[in-house]
Amino acid sequence: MWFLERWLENPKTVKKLVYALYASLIIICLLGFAIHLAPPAEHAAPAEHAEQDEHAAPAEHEEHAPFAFEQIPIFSAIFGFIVCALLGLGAKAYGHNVVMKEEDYYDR
Amino acid sequence: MTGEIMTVPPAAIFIVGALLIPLFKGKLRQAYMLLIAVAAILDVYFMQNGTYWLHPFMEYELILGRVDLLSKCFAYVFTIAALAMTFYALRVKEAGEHVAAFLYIGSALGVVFAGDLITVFIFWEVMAWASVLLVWYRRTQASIDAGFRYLLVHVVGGVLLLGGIILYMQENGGSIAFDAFNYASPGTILILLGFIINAAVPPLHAWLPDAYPEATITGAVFMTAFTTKTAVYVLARGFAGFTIDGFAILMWLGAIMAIYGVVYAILENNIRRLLAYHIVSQVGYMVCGIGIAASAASVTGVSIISQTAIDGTAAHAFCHILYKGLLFMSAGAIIYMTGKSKLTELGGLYKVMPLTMIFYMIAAFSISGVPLFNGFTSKSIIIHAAEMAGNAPIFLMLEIAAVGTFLSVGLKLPYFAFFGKDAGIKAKDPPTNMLIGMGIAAFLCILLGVYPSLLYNILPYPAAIADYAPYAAGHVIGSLQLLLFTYAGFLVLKKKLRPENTISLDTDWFYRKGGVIFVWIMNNPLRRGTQWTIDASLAVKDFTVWFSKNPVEALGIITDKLCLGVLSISEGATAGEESAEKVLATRIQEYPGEPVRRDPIGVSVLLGTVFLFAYLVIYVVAPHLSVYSMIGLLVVAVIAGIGVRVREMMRGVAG
Repeated sequence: MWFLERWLENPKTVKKLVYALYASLIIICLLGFAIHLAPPAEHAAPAEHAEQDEHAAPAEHEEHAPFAFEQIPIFSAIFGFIVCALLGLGAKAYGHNVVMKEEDYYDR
Repeated sequence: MTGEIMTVPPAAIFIVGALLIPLFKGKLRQAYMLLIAVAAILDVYFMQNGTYWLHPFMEYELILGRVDLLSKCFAYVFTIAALAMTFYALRVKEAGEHVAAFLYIGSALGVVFAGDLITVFIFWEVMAWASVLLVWYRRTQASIDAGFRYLLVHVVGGVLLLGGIILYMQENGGSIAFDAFNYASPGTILILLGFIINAAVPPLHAWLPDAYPEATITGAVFMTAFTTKTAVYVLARGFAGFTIDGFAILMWLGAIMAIYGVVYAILENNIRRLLAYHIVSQVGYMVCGIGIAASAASVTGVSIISQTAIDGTAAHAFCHILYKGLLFMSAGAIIYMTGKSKLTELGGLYKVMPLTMIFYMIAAFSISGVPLFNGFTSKSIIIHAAEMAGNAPIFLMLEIAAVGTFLSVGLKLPYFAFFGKDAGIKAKDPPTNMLIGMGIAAFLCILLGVYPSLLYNILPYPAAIADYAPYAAGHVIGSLQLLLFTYAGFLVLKKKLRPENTISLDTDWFYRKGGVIFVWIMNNPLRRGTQWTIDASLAVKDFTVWFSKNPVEALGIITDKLCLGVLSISEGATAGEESAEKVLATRIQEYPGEPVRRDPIGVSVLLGTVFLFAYLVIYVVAPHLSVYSMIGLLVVAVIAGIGVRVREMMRGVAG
């Protein structure tokens, strides 16, 4: 698809895409804060459901009151970035120091 | 049961169908194979819950059709995936590959519907043999070797399974029922090990990244769906309540597995091996889900958390088959069209294989849990179950694995294969049948993403999933945050994550290097040891033959050698020693020589004297002496004789 190539190789398009990425990062953080400050009503309904339910196990449908660290506003964003960095660097460190060998390691 | 459509075991459709494939040729064969796949889907659709197809076998009754929601769910995805994969494999000319693939699918369906342990075992073994053929058909040396290792591992697994079944039967008075094993005993542990090998749980997982990249292009696609998911099914059926003294081992194994697979995937260069490590990671989610169900098992039936976890496992298995099949189909298309399978050699493929890229990205988004694709609606159920159980470490581990999944499959592989630096490869999109197969899988990935209730309706525990809303705002935004910031992290680390042309050692190092060491021990120390016994026996034989040619002369030679040895040890060697050596050498050379002919009369007199002396000793002297004194006399006589001979040699009169 030559038009796809022409479009993507164009430096102006690349710039636009980078701006779009930054914008989406900021927007998603704003949305994260919004969700944190004003949880939507739909979470309340299952909570009432749980009261009436016979076999209410201790933590039923509690996505609105899960773990302590999830209370941090943009937890997923921070988690994603840090874990990505740690995984990438950690995996490469593990690889270079322990397990990675030349291709013909088993054939020698 | 009037008014209902009589159904046959779907396993039979595939197995009998497989055997008839070689009878057809060309387009007719292609149509026939597709017909089988469609027939199987319809068959599963019309099946009713219940227990069917009982067969007496020895003193047991085999149940070939245990139909309930769990088995139907897996059977649906097996047959639907089989249709897409059959499209993908239509152009393969070798009939044997198709026969092997269909036998494989058929036996997987056999395991899914098995109601007793013996049936499970029979179909389990057929699966192992049929799938190794899919590796061997590639016909390269590496594939043949990898296939052997695969077969060895699976045979060991099968033997463990059989041992476990037998022990279990003994523990339970001969019952072969395949239901939940809730306690740890030698039998259940062995069965668990057998299942775990097929589920590729580390450290017993190395066969998967070893064999899958070496299989044929189409064979690998089939293999991703069936071996591991059948293992997930049997684990869900049998070990959903399994704890060792309350410790839900499957939960932790699964979480560790999920991260382990992702770490190796980040390091990997070969695209299919990267995806194979990914299978380990995703199956880790499923095993973890089963473990969560076990950890939350309550005494009054199956708790809601357990039900959710099992639903999540089943849903994830369903979606995983679809998107993993699609990933392998795209990777297979790349290898098929370019002949290259390493990220270091690929790049810029979006320009020449755009459809493949689009299909790949659909699958990559699915596996990463991007909203609107099917991974988002299925993986999240398991994570949700972990939340419900209040298990923070497991939750975090699964989320870490999710980040790693997106990083390796959704970012690293497509960037370095499809985008990134152009490697200038001339290729184009694969043939139409492969595109149709990919298209079916991609369509289902998107369909189940935007309309998840289609999937939720066939899950084992409808009550637990009824209130689950995957598209709750908080959830969607949380997922998007995770994904976008992982993308940002990737862009920052891009240079560090460059693929390298290496392999990564895994637990198969132990038996691969171990095998080399074992063979070395067999060939060197042990062989020399056993060779020695042969050599020793031959030496004894040779000596007796030599001795028998001229015993008197031989005796003389032996005594001379002995005396010469004594002479050379002692100090003050004389000229006599050298001449004695020469004489001895001549004697050995001339052996057997002429029989010693001294004086015939002298010989007989000598013999007579010897015998008379012997009689004297035995009958007259010996009764009066003890054994020790006789031995002592004998030793003295021998030493005297040697001494005399040595003196002769010293004086140079040997001979």
